Parts: sequence; structure tokens; C-alpha cells
Amino acid sequence: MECERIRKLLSAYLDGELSEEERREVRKHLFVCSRCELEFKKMRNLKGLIIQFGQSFEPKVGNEIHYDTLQSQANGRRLKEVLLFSVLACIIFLLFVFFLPIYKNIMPGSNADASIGEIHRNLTGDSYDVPKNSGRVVVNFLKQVSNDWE
Amino acid sequence: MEEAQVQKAAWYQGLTVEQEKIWFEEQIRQCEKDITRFACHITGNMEKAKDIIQEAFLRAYKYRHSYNDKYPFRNWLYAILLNIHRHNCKKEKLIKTIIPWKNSDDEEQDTWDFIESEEEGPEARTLKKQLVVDIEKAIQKLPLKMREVIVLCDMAGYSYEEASEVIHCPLGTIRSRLHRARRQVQKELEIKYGEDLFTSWS
Repeated sequence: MECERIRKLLSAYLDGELSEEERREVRKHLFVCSRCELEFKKMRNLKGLIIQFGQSFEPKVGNEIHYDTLQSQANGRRLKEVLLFSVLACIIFLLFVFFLPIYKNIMPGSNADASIGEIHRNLTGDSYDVPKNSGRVVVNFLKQVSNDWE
Repeated sequence: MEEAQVQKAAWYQGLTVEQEKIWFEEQIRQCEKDITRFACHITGNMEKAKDIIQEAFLRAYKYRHSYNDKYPFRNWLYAILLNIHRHNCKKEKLIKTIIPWKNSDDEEQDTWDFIESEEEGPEARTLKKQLVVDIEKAIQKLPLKMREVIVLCDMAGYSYEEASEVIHCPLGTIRSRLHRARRQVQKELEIKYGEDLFTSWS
């Protein structure tokens, strides 16, 4: 139990990140427990290996910083965002225009007092009301828009 | 009162845009190597590292006025890099859940390429170099949170306090994550090389 608790502190002990009290405790334990001492040595060697590995890798650098490129990249990204947003808005608008009639048909209390059978026919495509309705809605919408403009 | 006023004076006050650019470039030059090394260890892939470095420079330049010169510039860049990498990882995960049949073999193939590029040829592959590759692989297998801590504390030589500033988490969390990360790397290496590795190596 004591060993387990001490082993959790070994890593911080190795880095010198323990409080004075904890450090003394760990040192005392390592003096009497050979298994924990071995564990500590292993961890020390592992840390040494990782540090060696970290230093052995020399990255090639020399990236030129072009502020114009940075600026144009930022502008390009903004343009992309705007385009993406407008495409999404168009898709949502089209979906709204074409699916509104179906929604109207299947909602209870709507003009087309839809029964279960009608809903089934609409959804399965047995009825030709859907394309007609959607067409009518678009035509009505366009008529209304043109009237408003006039 | 005076001290507070001095602290409030930001680094860019009294500088023209051109001077700011020169200052920014100088800061980047100073920590370019460390940043590249850090990005390579975090991503495990040279191409990805280059991408996030570019993105980090872009973001750092864009938000340069939010940098507080009380802290080292390197730490600020590390924090930006980590944020970008976390964001990219989340995006990749999301894409994988949406398109589960997307094969990630290509990504795995070109991972560790920055280690391979250091080698002259197959003859030069000594035990130590093999060990280096295995250490990198073991580190790459760690979860991102643990990898961040091990790269910062062991490779970049940061103290726990500095690491907690970069990662924005408490000291105790850094301590436990680092402990677990080391244990996991140790286990991975022991599976391949046996327990003698750490007792014989000095």
C-alpha cells in the first residue's frame, strides 16, 4: 500500500517537483524498499532516454514569413467561409421550399385534412399531390413576390 | 499604482505596423526550432507539423495584440499550437465517425517520417536508432493529453508550473498525467525489449 503511494510520487520526485516533506518521505522509503528503488532507477533511465531522443532530433527550419501570404491566406479563408455559408443557406432555403408542402400535408389541422391513408400515399409517392403541391407553392410564391414588386 | 500602469503598457504600444512585423519575425526566429520540434513530437508527422505551424503563425500574427509579454513568447505559441492540434484531432474524429469506412492507413504510413529522414540508410540503423523510433512510437500511442505533458516536460524541459500555464490545467493534473505517461511508455518499451532495458542502460 505504502509502495503504491510512493510510486505515484516517483515521477515528480525525479523532476524535483515535490514539497520538502514529500521528498523526505520518498527518500526514506527508497532507502528501505529495494523494489521501489529499482522502479525509480528504471524511471530515471527512461527519462534519460526520452531526453536524449528529444535532443537527437534536429528539425530543419528556415521558414520565411511572408506577411502578404499570411494576409492573403486569411482573406482566402474568409472567402471560403462566406461561400460555404451561402451554399448552406441556399440548400436550407431549397429544402424549405420543396418540403413545406409535404409538411403541411402531414401535419394535423392543416388545410388538407390529411388522414393516415393520405399521409401514407404522400410519403410513399403513390399520390401525385406532392410535386403538384410543391409546384403550386413555388408558383404562388413567385406570383406574390412579383405582386409585391409591382 | 505605477507598477500596474507599467504592466498595462502592452508591447505594441508606440510601434508602427512595420516595427510590429520586425518584432514578430524576431520572436519567431528565436523559437522556430523549438516550435518545429514540438509540433513534430505532438503530431508525429512532418507534414501535419508543417501545417499546424503555418496555422499557428497565421493565428499568432492575427491576434498578436493579445500576447502578454509578461510570459515567454514561446509558451504563447505552444498554447496556440496545442489548441490547433486539439481542434484538428476533434475534426478528424468527427470525420471518422461520419465516414467510418475512411481508411487511415495512409496516415499511419507516413507517420514517424521525420525520424526516418534523419537516417542515412538501412546500414545506419543501430540499436539506439531503433530505440529512438520505438520511443517515438510509444509516445505517439499515448492519448493526446498525456503526450502534451511528456513532450513539454521531458523533451522541451519545462517545469510543471510552466507546463500548467501552457496547457491551462492545475499542477496536480500535470503531475499525474506525466506519471501515467511515463509508466505507459515504459510498459510499451518493456514489452519489446524486456525489463533489462532500463536497468542495463545508463
